[in-house]
Amino acid sequence: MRVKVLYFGALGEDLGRSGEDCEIENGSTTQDLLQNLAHKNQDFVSWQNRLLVAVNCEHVCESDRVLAENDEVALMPPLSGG
Amino acid sequence: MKKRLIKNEIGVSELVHGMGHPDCGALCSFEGCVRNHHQGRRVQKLIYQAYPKMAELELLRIQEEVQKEWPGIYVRVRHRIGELQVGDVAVVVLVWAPHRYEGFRACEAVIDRIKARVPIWKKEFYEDGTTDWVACHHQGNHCERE
Repeated sequence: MRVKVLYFGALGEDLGRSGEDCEIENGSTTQDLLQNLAHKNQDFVSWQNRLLVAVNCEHVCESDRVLAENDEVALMPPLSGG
Repeated sequence: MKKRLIKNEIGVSELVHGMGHPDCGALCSFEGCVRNHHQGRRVQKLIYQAYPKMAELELLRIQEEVQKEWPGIYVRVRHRIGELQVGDVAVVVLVWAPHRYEGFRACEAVIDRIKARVPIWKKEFYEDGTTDWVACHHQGNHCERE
């Protein structure tokens, strides 16, 4: 299935892009997605355990959140608004 | 949906005087401004980047939560995105309340939750020519409240 992944802040800058579509197996979790991205991109490895995750504009705290087709997954460095 | 993220200067006067709450005796406000220093470095300017649709949703959620937690109050929030100079106002929180006690508490709650949950990032530009993305150390509380 395909999910849309968004990158922000220093993460987007390090990767050189603001997002991409990602093909993952049905039933994949947010943790699976992060591991998939780390496997494909060496620049992502150092970020893997430092990110906040949102799915369809809602913060997700659990790493075993199961993703669905066309989910929008935001991978976010520590926030600095306010 | 009314925009809480804006690119231009925040019109505080319009926000304040556009609202009429005769049932409230207190107006408490917080304005976050761009400081000229951060961890010993001289700041020249900064850029706020946001995940716009989620930031708008979170600002609305925070406003509605705090209004529910302190019945009788009214909350308005604005946060700028884009490039800001030293001294510019980056975020405004206004709370109208029957009394000052709940006004001050609610105002603090709103800005604390903005820092913890709203997907906005700040990149600072220093006078020595370097830049850095700031990591807020107050964030992360959104998971504890689940």
